[in-house]
Amino acid sequence: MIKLRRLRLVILPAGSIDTQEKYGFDIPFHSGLNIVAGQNSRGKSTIGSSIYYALGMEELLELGAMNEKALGKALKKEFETTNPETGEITAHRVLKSRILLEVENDRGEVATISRLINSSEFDTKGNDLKTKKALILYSAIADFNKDMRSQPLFIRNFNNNTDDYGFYHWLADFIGLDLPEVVNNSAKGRSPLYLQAIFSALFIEQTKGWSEFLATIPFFGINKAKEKVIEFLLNLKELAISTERDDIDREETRLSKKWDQTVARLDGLAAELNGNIKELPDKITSDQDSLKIISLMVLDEADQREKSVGALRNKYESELNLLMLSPVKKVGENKEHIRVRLEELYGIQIDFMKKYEEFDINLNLQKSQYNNISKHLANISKELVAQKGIKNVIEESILITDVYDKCPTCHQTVSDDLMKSEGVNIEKYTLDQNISYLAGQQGMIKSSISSLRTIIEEKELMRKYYLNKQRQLEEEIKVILRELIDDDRDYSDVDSLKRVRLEKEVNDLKYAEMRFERYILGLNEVAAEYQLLLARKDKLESSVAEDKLTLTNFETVFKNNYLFPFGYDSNQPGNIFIQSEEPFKYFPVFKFNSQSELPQSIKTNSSASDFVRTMWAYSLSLLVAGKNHPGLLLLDEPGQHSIRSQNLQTLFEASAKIKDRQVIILTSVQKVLITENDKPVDKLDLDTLLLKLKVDEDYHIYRLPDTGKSIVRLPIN
Amino acid sequence: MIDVKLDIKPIPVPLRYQPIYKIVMLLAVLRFGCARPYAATFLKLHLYMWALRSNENQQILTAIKTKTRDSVVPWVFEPALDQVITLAVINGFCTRDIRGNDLQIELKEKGQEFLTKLEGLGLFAEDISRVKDIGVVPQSTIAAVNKKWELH
Repeated sequence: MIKLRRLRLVILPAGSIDTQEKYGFDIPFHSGLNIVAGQNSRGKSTIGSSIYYALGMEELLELGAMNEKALGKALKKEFETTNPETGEITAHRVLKSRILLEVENDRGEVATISRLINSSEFDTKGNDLKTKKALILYSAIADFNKDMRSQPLFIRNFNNNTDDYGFYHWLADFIGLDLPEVVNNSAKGRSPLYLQAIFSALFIEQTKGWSEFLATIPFFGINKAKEKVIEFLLNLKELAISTERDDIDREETRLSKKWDQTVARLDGLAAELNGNIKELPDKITSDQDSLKIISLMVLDEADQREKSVGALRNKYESELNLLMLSPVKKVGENKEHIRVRLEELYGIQIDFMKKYEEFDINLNLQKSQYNNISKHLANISKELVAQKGIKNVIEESILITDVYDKCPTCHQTVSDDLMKSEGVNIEKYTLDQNISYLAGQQGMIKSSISSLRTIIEEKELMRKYYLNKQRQLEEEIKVILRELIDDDRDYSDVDSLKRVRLEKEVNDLKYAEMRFERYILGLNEVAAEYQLLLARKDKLESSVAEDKLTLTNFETVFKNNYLFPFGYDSNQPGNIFIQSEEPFKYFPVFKFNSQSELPQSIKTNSSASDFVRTMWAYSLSLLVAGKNHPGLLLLDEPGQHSIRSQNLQTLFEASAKIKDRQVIILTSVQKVLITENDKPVDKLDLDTLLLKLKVDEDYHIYRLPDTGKSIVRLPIN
Repeated sequence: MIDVKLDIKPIPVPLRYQPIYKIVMLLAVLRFGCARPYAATFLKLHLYMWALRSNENQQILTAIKTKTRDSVVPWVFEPALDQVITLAVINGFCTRDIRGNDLQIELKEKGQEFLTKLEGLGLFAEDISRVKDIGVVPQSTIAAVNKKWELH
């Protein structure tokens, strides 16, 4: 919290021999409402800009203007004084000028900021040499003495917001602000939320300042600077959690990717076995129990039913055991049996061949499709490169295109439209349209190629499985055929073949099972990590809920205490909200209802005077509701546009109620506010506006002299 | 009644109808497909343009150059060549002169500079290098092979 106590300008005039001859002003400030009143061109702005300058905020006066350059000439070059008795005007030149600002914080510390405006020492370019520094004197102006502690600080050095010698660092410290770190594009990473950015919400400059919220915010490369300032002033958690949020988003993407990869492997495994995966969650989950029921289902050829890998392996194993126990049969004993089996095998083979043929045709079709599309893609890529080349030729203007219509020999028109000569007479795309059209085509083809490629890869695996099966069938048929003509006394081979095959099958399934288990384990790991991530996210959500509450309170204060009492009538209270999301995040918006996702700018939905009322209300709400607000608000000429005097009165009264903070209003004394048919119908009369308030109790006022300017001869102390 | 209205929609312009691309190709043929003084007849330009249409066509012209074949397959003219040449002439890249009994198109200094600039920027590098791959095929060879057409 900061409170201004006294502002003193001291100018030493050039050419004076009297060392006591000093000019300037000396204005006291108090808690609560302070009014600096004066007619136009009496020097109100001089006082306002002196405050900006003393606090190192001159950038907010004029964007990009630094140091004494931002100030008017009365403070640094020449000024006039008027003799109050004779009305005689004397011009003076400035030899040296200095501004002193006495401030106090809520820890009770008092300091005076002393900053030169004109040191009469200049560099070759005419820049003042000493205005980039400020001197902090740890004493009130009235108690200046030789022994007081002082400290010079730099306003324009590199790390002025963080370094111990930096003025803004000192000021933030004095106010008691802990400046947060924010993402900054210019600083390649992070930077503090600069104090100058924060003050753009505190100091409303008289012209630009009323055109937009935080209109004078300087550009420091801070990402979404206005949002950050409001987040800071209202002490929203969002400011701290935005990095965490980024982190979580990145982590979530990584885990999803890992999940998808594992699922793709599982699918590959299923394709190899011509099976499928059951009960697989369709997206990443943290529920590890749901992973327990995932199973790999494979078709059992014997009864054409799907079984889990484990079940099928068990079945084969028991068959194998049975086979091992039974004695080896002779060919003769087996003949009947193998004949039946042969019939069966032929049937299976025919079915199988049919299926395989269909599958193979399909696969080949897709392969040739893939080749075609790839060729097409190559063509398009080539065209795209060339069209971009043409664009470059035009952009580099190596070719003059606008001489096309005058042939040097025949002086006839020559069109550069080559399609016309082929009889095509239709509107054509421009080069840029052409390029974006081709780029679109390229993107589309690329995506279809990649999905086609995955399908083909999967089918290749299935094809291997089919071929394998076919070979097995053929082998068995061959053995049976041979055995049918063998001697009946020989040992039968069919059973040994069956045994070998079963052994292989069991091994294959075992291996598949192992792989399956490993992938599921992988999914489990991802799920566990995901669970931790969700917990982090939950924590984030609770901060978000807290923020929501803060914003709701802020909205209530904004609407009920200020906006509508100020006479805002462009919209109904039910349509005005403080927006909690993009766009216009944290600023008032117009919406049809609270659920509407189409917020509209309050500026375009309000009359000019109602926007000024909105600005008053927003600034005051920030002052009273902002936990991190420095507690100072400066409004320069709030009687903008056609504001009604009655509303200005409400503004003064509302500001006067804020006792524990400081509001400084610079205002005219008399001013026509609304004219109709060239006749004034409403005018500002300060004394009437302040009628209900008690001077020195509800407000403090400093009136500029009726004649002459704000800069007068200072009394000898 | 259903009222059917047809809106004419603008269409994309394929590369082979882009005048600047064609001019570049014309200049490249003159510069890298012809001997000094970088001049060619319409017949030669048409044949080169046809050769640049596809890899198969290009192979045929390359075979003619290396004398491994002495005939051409049925080929087509470049319909826009006349207009492209006019555009190039307007830009001062080449001239049309009658030399002997033939109308010849000759590359001028400005055209050469234009090509150098393009190469400096790396533009159309692939297309220009295709012309370079074919290289110079003498006028007389082209006239001779054109008398003999074969289907393959």
